[in-house]
Amino acid sequence: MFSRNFATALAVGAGLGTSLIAQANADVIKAGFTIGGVEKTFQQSQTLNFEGISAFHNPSADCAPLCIAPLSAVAGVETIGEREVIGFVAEVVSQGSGLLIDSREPEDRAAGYIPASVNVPASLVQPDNPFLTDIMQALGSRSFEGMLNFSDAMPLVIFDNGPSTSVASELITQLIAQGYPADKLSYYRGGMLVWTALGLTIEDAKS
Amino acid sequence: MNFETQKPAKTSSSTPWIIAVGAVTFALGAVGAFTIAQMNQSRQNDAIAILAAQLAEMQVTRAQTPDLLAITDQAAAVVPTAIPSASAVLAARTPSAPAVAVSLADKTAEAIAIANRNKMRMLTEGVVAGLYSVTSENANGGTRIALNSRNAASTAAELEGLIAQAAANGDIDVPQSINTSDGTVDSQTLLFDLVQQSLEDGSAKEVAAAQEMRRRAFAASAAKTEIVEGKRFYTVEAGDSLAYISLQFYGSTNAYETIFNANRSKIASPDKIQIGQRLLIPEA
Repeated sequence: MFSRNFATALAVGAGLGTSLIAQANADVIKAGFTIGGVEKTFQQSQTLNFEGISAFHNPSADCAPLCIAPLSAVAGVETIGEREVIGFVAEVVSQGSGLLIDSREPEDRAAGYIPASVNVPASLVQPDNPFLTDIMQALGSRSFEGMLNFSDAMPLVIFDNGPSTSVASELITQLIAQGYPADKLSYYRGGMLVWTALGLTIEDAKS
Repeated sequence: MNFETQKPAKTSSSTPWIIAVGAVTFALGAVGAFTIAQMNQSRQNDAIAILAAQLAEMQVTRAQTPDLLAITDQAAAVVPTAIPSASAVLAARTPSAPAVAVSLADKTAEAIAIANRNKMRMLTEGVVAGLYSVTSENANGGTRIALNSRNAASTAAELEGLIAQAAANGDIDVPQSINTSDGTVDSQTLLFDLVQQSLEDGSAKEVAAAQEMRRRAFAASAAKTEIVEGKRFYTVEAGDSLAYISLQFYGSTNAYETIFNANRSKIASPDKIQIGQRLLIPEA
């Protein structure tokens, strides 16, 4: 039951970007797309969303004194910025051949998320999760007699709340431990914090 | 091909000794001592003939022959051995050399047969012991699954070479499923086929090793597929055979029938796949 819902959620998430029309060239950072018949855009606001910024700045207590994620999550996994994230959504997610992954827990995601992203909490991608194989299959890998083959696995861009959290790195580490090829993974380190600080469009449970 | 013709006549009184020594030398694997080209050719042919016989028998085991008696006979021949090991299975499949004509050529052939049986046994025992890896390697512009033996690396390569030559000479009856889309025979797939079959007919440990080999082959595949309306499709590439495609998606060559049956409307017989054809790959 769970895995079916999960796969459906991913499928819906992937479908959201299908009619995306985007431009992410040097002059314009703007992308218009349709979600469930509603037209939406990646836009850059002139005013700062202080409420959002403070919501996404929530370093965990166990990383004191400094909660600052390293620039690289895992060796071999590229770290990318906002322009690349928008380009990825426009060129890959819109074709249904890649996923923008929000690695946070659903309650964190409720505060706001990047449009066209899907939620795969890092806490689910753990070796003891009996649905792990279903999750990996939803990400495109093939399964046979308990083994996974990643030839068809989709390229993923993974983010979390931002540079003060390490949830995205945890997810990337777990995916690689399962055999996911590092060159199919990218780490958007800026996450929600930097995305919001740049005034880029976010969605939340209400929108 | 008489040994005596290569020796001075005056030693003829000790000929039996020379033959005996020669036989022992062969049995020890020192067959390379002979340099006469024709002799080499004959050895090669003998080796191929023996391998061909082995292959032919193995294919009989798998192909559903209408001759039920033949199957019963074969089963009966294997059963008496206490614990069927890979070596026992292989030995049972190898025609026992008739110890009647004790010509030197026969001795040579026998020595080579022993050597080849040992090679095959080394390879399968290495697989049982986990001394191998299955990798995806770049070859001829594409990636191919390859069996890498750690205890018998050169042996695997040698066997592959022998198989390739035997197939090219038409000395072995290659199963249709191993004929490739471009009309050649994939000897690496044949090697997988041989090892997997000998293990699948073996002891519990060997059956488990066969399963592990399937899992490794599946994981190693670099094949890309498309999902259309929930169904998986694979597009045939140059050098593919139905057995090789089966190896990639089900880890073993003998699951080819699953693919064949799912694509009956497109494939007339297992050797009639074409480059660019889109095949439905049923979920395992």
